[in-house]
Amino acid sequence: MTGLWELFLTAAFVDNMPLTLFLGLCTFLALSRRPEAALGLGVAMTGVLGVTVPLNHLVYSYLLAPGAWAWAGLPEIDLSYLSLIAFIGVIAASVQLLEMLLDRFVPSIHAAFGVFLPLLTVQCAILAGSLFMVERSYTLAQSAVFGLGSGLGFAVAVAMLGAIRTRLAYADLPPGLRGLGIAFVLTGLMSLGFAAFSQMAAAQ
Amino acid sequence: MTEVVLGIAIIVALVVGMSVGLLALRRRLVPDTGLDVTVNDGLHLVARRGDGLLSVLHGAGVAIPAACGGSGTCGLCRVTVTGEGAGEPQATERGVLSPRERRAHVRLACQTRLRGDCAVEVPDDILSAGGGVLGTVSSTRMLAPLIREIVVELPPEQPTEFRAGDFMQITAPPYALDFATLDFDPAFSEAWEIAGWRRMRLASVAEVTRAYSLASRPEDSGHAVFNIRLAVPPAGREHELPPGLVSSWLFSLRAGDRIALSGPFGEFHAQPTGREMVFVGGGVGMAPLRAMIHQELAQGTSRRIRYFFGARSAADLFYSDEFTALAGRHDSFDWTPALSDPAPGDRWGGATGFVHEILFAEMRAHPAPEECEYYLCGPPAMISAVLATLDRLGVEPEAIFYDDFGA
Repeated sequence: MTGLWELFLTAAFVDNMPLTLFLGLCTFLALSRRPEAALGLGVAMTGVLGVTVPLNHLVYSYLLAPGAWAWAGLPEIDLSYLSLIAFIGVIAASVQLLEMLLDRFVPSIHAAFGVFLPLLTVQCAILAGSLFMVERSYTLAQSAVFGLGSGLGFAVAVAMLGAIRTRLAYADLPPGLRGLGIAFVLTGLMSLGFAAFSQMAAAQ
Repeated sequence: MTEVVLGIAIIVALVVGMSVGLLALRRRLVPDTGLDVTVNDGLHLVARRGDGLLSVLHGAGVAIPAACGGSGTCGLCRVTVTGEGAGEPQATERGVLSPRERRAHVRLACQTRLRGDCAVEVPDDILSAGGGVLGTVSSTRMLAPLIREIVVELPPEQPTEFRAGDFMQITAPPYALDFATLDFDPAFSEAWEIAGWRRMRLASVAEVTRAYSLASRPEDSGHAVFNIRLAVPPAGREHELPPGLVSSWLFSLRAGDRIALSGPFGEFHAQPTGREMVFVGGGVGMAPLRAMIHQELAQGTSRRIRYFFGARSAADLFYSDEFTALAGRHDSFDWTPALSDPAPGDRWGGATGFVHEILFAEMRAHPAPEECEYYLCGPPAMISAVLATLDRLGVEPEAIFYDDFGA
């Protein structure tokens, strides 16, 4: 149990997707301008990662992994080279489902996402979640915890950036830095802060 | 072999399974029922969830103007929408609509996706305009290298009341056009040859509608006069960008051709006050101003009227003789054409400079520029320069009326 909790914290903070691994920065920067869009993105990322990583774990371990077909008398079959296409298919279906859910129940968030919602299909952080799951040979429970943890870490980071960028409305910035410029600077500073978590992990 | 078959089977099964799942969920989540759209408390339209309001209204023959073709930039398709089906204004609308309009439930029809029943209010003249009229081109002529005058005879059984400053919507059918086949005015062939416009080709596969201001004078009754500027791509990008779909088609028209119009519509009109009027135009911004000036003078107005018109060189200046003659007949009317870049052969003796500079120089000598009314029509760059100039002259925004071609 402590192993899972540790994995959760590691996924959320030490290996934070946008701020430590610099994955999914496009949506991270684009949708953090307003706090409600940022929160929506956080929830969406948590949902998509929390669903796709365990689903892809099932797809991988029961259909694609080397030896997955041993029960059928085909132990030599290794379909892991199909994992990318299968993972992306699962991610695309989840994003499509998410889009329909948002459109039905929270149209304002759906409108705020705009083109970035379908773009979650090819968001690197989401695919990275599934690829890390394979690379680190997580179990199903670990995959679910890892997916939720990464998603939550993304949500925390994007909500923080969204909150700071809202406060920036009152800041007297030089014109060249306004908008994306200061967002990059902020992301760098936040990333420095998150570097402290890796020191904590190393000290353990 | 087993591996290939198994691999294909897995991927196909995954995709089919997920598609079936999504289809099933979609049926649950997006109910496929008809929505009721009430227009002006009388007309009831049936729409489907997710339909755009503009296309629903157009489908029912309610000719809401949309100069930009539904991309949310021109702001002409403003309608008042109430009811839960309209949802929140999109980010594209917030750039166009003022906070006051948003509080009054004004929306851009082209950006409104229907999610439920709603009630729409459109101006009465739009509702009564119906599906439009079919006119016949009675004459065309080139006014400037890129500007063509098209006179359309309207069917006599369908009287169409114009107010000077109105615009009409013109719908171009699908067509293919080779610019080399256009009728040609030799006076402008050199400009066309240099720019390579004759080599352009264009095909349009669907009906396209754009709005054009009327330049009709009172004596043109029964006819609609348009000044059409051919929207050509910026120099050097002829191979990437097509010329304007509707303006190119209009350039290809000859006398006797049929043309589908709807309208007239418009909010840009002369105000019924006694204040002095200052008109500032550029390019085909000429059209509504010409209509308004002619109308005012024909009514025998006592208002002082000044007209400043900006062009690049003498070739781009049109209707000049007409306005010079008008200024000769009416003491109260002054016509000031300004060339920003006269060509060496122009022998130009008039005002030289951008039209806002000439306007500033003239109006600074005026005892009370803030007491005049200003009517502007022209390209967006000209409008913003003139607005800044009028601000320097101390003119309040309430006294400025303009039409920036919906840009």
